[in-house]
Amino acid sequence: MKASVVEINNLHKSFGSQQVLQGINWNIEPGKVIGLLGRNGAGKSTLLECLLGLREADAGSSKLFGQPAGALDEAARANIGYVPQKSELFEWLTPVQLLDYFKALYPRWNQAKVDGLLQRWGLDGEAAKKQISKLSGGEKQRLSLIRALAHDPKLLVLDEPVASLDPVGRRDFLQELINDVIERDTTVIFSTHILSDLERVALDVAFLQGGKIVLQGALDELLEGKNLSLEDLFVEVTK
Amino acid sequence: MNAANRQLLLQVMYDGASCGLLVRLTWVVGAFALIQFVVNYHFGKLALGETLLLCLVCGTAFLWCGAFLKNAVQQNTPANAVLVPGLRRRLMRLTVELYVGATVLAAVLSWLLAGRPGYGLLLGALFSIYVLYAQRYNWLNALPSMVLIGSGFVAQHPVDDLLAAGDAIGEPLVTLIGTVLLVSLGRPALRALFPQGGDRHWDWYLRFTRQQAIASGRVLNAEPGHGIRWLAWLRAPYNAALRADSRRGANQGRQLLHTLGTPAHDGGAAIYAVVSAVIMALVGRHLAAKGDPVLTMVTSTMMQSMLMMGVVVYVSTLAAHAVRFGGEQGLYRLAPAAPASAQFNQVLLGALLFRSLRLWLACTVAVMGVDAIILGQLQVRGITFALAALVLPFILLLMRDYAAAPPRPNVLLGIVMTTLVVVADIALAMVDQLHPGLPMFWFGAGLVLVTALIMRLRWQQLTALPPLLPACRVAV
Repeated sequence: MKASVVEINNLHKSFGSQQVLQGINWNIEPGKVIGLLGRNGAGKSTLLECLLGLREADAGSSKLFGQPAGALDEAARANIGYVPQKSELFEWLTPVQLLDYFKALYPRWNQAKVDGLLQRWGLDGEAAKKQISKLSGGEKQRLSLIRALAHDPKLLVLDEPVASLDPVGRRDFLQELINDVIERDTTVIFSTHILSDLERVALDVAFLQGGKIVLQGALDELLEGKNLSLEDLFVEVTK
Repeated sequence: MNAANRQLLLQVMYDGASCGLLVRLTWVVGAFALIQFVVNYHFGKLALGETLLLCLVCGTAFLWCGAFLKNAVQQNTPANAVLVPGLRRRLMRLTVELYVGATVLAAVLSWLLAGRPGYGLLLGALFSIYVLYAQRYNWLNALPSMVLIGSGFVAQHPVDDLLAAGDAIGEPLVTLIGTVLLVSLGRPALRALFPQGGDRHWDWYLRFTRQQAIASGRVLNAEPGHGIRWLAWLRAPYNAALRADSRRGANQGRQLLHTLGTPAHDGGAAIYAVVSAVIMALVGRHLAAKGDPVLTMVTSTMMQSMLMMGVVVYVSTLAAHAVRFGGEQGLYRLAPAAPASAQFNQVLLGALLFRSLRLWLACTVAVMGVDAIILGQLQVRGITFALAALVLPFILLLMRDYAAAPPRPNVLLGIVMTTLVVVADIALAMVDQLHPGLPMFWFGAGLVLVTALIMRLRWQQLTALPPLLPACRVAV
C-alpha cells in the first residue's frame, strides 16, 4: 500500500459557536483524483484550508506527504498547487508580474507550460500587461490556475476552480487537467458544484455533510446498481 | 407609517457600518439633552444654554437625513428602480419628508436664536438641496472648502448686506420667494438622484458603489496613482522593487512584504520626505533671512512635524490594509521560498520593523538637516528630536496579531492617528514655547527608550504565536 499524500485524523474546526468540521478522517493515496462535494456552507473551503495548514484546526491533525500541514518543509511545499476559491488576488500586479514573483519563490517552474497556457487561455499579449483587477472573473480564475499548475505539483488542491469560467474555459481547463495533470499521476482534490465536470475528471468522490465525510468511494461503485445519477446521489446524501 | 416605508427607513439601521457612529452620537446628544432638562428642572436654567442643545439636535437630524439619503440611493438600484413597484416614489417621498423635517427644525433654531425663522428655513432648505446635488455630483463636495477659502478674500460683510437687503423686502416675502425658488431647484435634484433605470443610471450606480466600497476599504485603493494612466509613473518605484524581489534568492522579508499590498512599499513615503525636506529647508532659509527668529522657529517646528507625518501615514495605511490580503498571504505561505512556520513571524516582524524604522530614521535625519540649514550650523534642537521621538511609538501598531485581526480594514485608523500626532505636536510645541528651559531632548530620549522596551516585549509575544499570516483567519 502506498503512503498517503493526505492524512487527516479527527479534524475539528469551529468559528465561535458554529462547528464546521466535526472529526474528519480522510486519507488520500498518490495519484487519486477526488471530487469533494457538499452543500453551500458545508465547510469544503475550510476543510481544504485546514488540510493545507492555512488555518489551525481546533483538534486533530492534517499531514501532507507525511509532514504536519502547519510545518511543511520547502520540498513538500514545492509539491503543492492550490487554487483558492477567491481568485481576486494580487490585484495590483499584472499577470506577468504575478507569475515572475511566484517563479522566484519556487525551485521548479515550468516556463514552457506557463507560456503555452497563457497563449492557449488568452492571457498573452495585452491581457498579460493589464492590471489583474481589470481582468474579467474568468481571466482571473484562469490566471490562478496557471499559477497553481506552473511548478508541476504532485498534489493539486482546487477549490471551485471553474466557478467563473464559461463552458469553453471549463472545457479547456478540464482538458489540461486530464491530459497533463492526471496523466502525470498527480493527486487532485477538486471541490465543485458542477457535477458534470466532476464526472469527467474524478474517479472518486467524498461528500462533506454535517462537518463529516459521510460518504466516499469510487464514483462508479457508488452509482453502480442504484440507477442514480450523481446529482440524485448528491441530493440523497446531502439532504 | 405603513410597513413598506418602515422597511425602507429601517435599512439605514441595518447598515451598521454607516449608522453605528451616528447611533452613538445620537445617544450622546440624547444624554446631553437629558442633563440639560434635569438641570433646568432643578435650577430653572439650562446648564450649557439652549443654543448648543438646539445646534446639536439640528445637526444630528441632518446627519440622519444624510445617512438615509446614502442608503436610499443604494436601494434605488437600476433594477429596483424599474421593477419594484413604488420603490422609487416612496424613496423620493421619504427623502423629502425627512429633509423638510430637518429644515423645519433649522427654522425653529433660527427663530429661537435670532428671531428669524424664515431665514433659518431658507438656509436649511438650501443646505438640504445642496446635499441632494452633492450626493449626485461628486465635484460639489468641494464647494464648502471653496466657499471657506474664498470667504477669506472677501473683506466686506456680504452676509450682513444680504440680511439688510432681505429685511428691506421683508422676511415673509423673502421666505416665500426663496421657498418657491428652492422647491423648483429641489425637484430636478430628486429626479437626478433617483433615476429610473437606463444606461446613465447603470453608469452612475457603478461609480457610486465603487466609491462606497473604496470609502469603506472593501476595494483596493492603494495603488500609486490610483490606476490613472497619466499617473502611472508613480508606480515606477514599486515596480522596480517588485522586479528586484522577483529574483530567486532575493531577501525573504522583502518578498514577504509584497503580500501586504502596495502600502508596504515605502518608496512614496521616502519621496515625500526628500521633497518635503528640500522645500522646508528653502522656506526656512527664506524666513531666517528675514530675521524673525520666533517666526522662523515656530514655522520650522510645524514643517518638521509635517515631515514626520510621513511615517505616521505609512504605518497607519499599512496596519489598516494588511488585513485585506489574507488570500495572497495564504498562497505565499505555501511557496517553498516562504519562511518555515517557526521563523515566519520573526521574518515578518523583522521586515516590517526594518522598513518602518529605516523610514523613521531617514525622516529624523531630514528634520535635523532642516534645522542645520535654517540655523546655519550643525545643531539638534530638543523640540526637533522630541517631535521625531513622538512618532516612534506609532510603529508599534505594525506589531499586531494579524491572524486574529478583524477582516475589515480600519479606515478610521489613519485619521485618528494623524489627529493624535497633530494634537500632540501642537501641545509639545506650545509647552516648548511657554517653558523653553524644559529638557525636550531627554523627553525624546525617554520616549525612544520606552518604545524600544515595548517593541522588545511585543516581539517576544508575537514570535511565540503561530504564523501571523494569513491575516484574519482566526476571526473569520
